[in-house]
Amino acid sequence: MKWAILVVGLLVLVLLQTSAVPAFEILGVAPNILLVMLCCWAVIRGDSETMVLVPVAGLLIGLLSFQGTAESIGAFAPIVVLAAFKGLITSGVQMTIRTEYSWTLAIVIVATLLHFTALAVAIEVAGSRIDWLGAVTDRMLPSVIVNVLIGLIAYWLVRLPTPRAQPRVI
Amino acid sequence: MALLTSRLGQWLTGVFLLILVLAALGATGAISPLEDAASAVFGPVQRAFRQGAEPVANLVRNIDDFDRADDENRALRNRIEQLETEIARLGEEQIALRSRESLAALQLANPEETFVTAELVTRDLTGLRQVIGINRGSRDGVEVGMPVLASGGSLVGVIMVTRSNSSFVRLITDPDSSLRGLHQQSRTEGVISGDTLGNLDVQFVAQTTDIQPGHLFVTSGFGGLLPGGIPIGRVASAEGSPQEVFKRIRLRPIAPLDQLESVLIQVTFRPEPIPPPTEEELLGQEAAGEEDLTP
Repeated sequence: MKWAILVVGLLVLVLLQTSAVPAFEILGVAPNILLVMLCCWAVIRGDSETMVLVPVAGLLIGLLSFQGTAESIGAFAPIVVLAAFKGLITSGVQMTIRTEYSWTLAIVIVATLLHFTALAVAIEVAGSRIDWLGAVTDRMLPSVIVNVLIGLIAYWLVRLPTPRAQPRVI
Repeated sequence: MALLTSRLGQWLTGVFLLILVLAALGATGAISPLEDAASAVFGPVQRAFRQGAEPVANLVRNIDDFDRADDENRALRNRIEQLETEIARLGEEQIALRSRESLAALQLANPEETFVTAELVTRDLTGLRQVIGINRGSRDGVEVGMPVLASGGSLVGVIMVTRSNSSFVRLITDPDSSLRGLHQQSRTEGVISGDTLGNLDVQFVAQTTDIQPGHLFVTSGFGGLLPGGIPIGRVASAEGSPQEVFKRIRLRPIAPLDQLESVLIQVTFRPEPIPPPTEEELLGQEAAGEEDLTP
């Protein structure tokens, strides 16, 4: 039941991302609410669920937009790696909300950069031209700012319904 | 830690294999039925989401100017575009009549052209490409290469991918878009191409050509890939020093590419690229020329 709800929720997010969200441009770019929500999910809920949600999200985006399924999955995959990296560093440490919030935003920043880079490389490999300087200054960096702004709110959408892990009693 | 590493390793291996399989399926077209099914099932939902979000998006866009009604704005934009198209058409007709270029006149006044209306479903999500998805596909007679126009008749782009009930349009501002355009006043041809940032530039126009801001570029029709006389854009800037061979020209697209909701596909036009002459043809011509020169 949990997985059915998760996949339906993910589908709604993908449909929003591919239809309504591009109409709301900020700084000349559309926010990537799907990427931001996956980052929040990975930090707050751990990597078990994210390891399933990331490929499903990539597959759905690939089917419902111009991006290919393979490149979409590849562009979302760094989220899981970043979450695992964060898990290694903070292993055994009870995180405060502030620390977790900071980690989420940091992962949103890095994941956005890697997401863009992966897609831009895929476009180049497919034989199209990319003006890298323009892509970085006019698309990638504004996207980082916009996604962080969305992340400031999205964090709480995942955090509030999720019970916090209790510290272990030794 | 070891457990996590091994789990992550297994996951990465699995995802890598999945990517390879999907890339292979995508390259062979085996995934197309799934894409068709997805767009058939979810296309209407995407369209509904988009239409539902549009009033809110317009409100956000015009948040600093509540007095200006959005409907009025839209109507005025449409009117301007229609007038631009009318001016372009009249200009083309005038020139065609003057120079007795009946082909151009026929193309402009051809009443047999059929257009299919399509609604916008999605856009490129990264901003790195200028591509839109529309809700008409091969089932509606849409084919790769067909021109796509805005409601006022100016060029939006060209069909680049078709599925059974949806298609993707490469906008004129896409980095891979490259069109043969004609400067309406001087009849000089140039190559109009987009870039990653969505600009529209004209290349290979000689420095000596008199081009001023506001001048119009239309499709040339040469090469057989697009019909001639469709308005593309007005000159926003034309720069260059006498030392440069070509002018640096930037266009402002006439079609409202950022605010498209519906487009027209010219389904009666099929691109017929004119192949370059073969080596044999060239040799034959040369031989004929030599014969002519022989006394």
